[in-house]
Amino acid sequence: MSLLEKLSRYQVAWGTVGLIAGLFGLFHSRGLAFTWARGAETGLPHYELHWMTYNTLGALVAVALAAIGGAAGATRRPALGWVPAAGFALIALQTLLQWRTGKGDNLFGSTGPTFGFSIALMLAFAATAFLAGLFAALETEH
Amino acid sequence: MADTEIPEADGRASVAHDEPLVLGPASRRVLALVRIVVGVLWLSNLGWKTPPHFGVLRNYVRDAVDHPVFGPYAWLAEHVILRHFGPFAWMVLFVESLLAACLMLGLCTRLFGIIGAIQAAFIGLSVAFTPGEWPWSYYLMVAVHVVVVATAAGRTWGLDELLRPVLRARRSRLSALLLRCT
Repeated sequence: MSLLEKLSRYQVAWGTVGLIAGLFGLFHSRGLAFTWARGAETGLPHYELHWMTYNTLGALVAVALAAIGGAAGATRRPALGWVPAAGFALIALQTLLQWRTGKGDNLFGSTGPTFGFSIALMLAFAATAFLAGLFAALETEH
Repeated sequence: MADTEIPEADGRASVAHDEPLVLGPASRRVLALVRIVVGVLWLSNLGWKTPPHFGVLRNYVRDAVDHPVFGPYAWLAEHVILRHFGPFAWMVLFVESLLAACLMLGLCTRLFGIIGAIQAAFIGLSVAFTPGEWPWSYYLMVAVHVVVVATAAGRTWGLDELLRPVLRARRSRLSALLLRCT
């Protein structure tokens, strides 16, 4: 399997993980206010599995960004990964800024795990898009 | 890995420690799963370490003073960490967010495995003797990070697998350093 192929699979895998997380968020936040600040938890708190929290807006944004990331891998256009990378970076930044202003809750219903997960998806898509550029440059050199 | 007895020329037996351990695909995938689970462990525990007040985290740091595990660390917690709690708490949030992200992704796994082991050791130094806690959970947390580092668990199902060929092709000091982190 070529490196570019592995890279595309990686994008599809993390796009799928993000998509599932977002869909869980949509399911758990159903019936709540669209921008409910506390967000609904997607994990299993009873088993000490405190995962991401989303309100409907946050879940929809996560689904859209993860779908673009997955599509970047599925269509072998890894540079498209910069789009979800930027989006998840903005979600993390927004969460951070709203924390800095003294609010524990925020626009996308994010908490600590949502912040960490946004950073993970940002790094996943940014790194794969960046590496795709490097692979292309190295192939041209050789 | 089983050590192998090799007879030497003078008839005495010696033990060879340099026989490489070869891991099959199944073992490598198990180690990748262990790495991902460790990442999820950090992610799951980010929920109670959030601004603006970091209330629960402050209580846990206070446990290091109220139920000391190691005298010098209890002094450090009381006189340095609790007095400058804001910057410390933000640092914990950033470090643990990166631990969660990088271990789940398999990015610079060895570096973050070492950071995770150190962080787990410090958490243990804070709360291991708090009533209701089980000290062995912190020994195990350190141990599982050491396993992730020793087996370079990011090279299967991880970004390290993609990063290493690029780093090997680019012959710079930074690349050599990053290669050691994977």
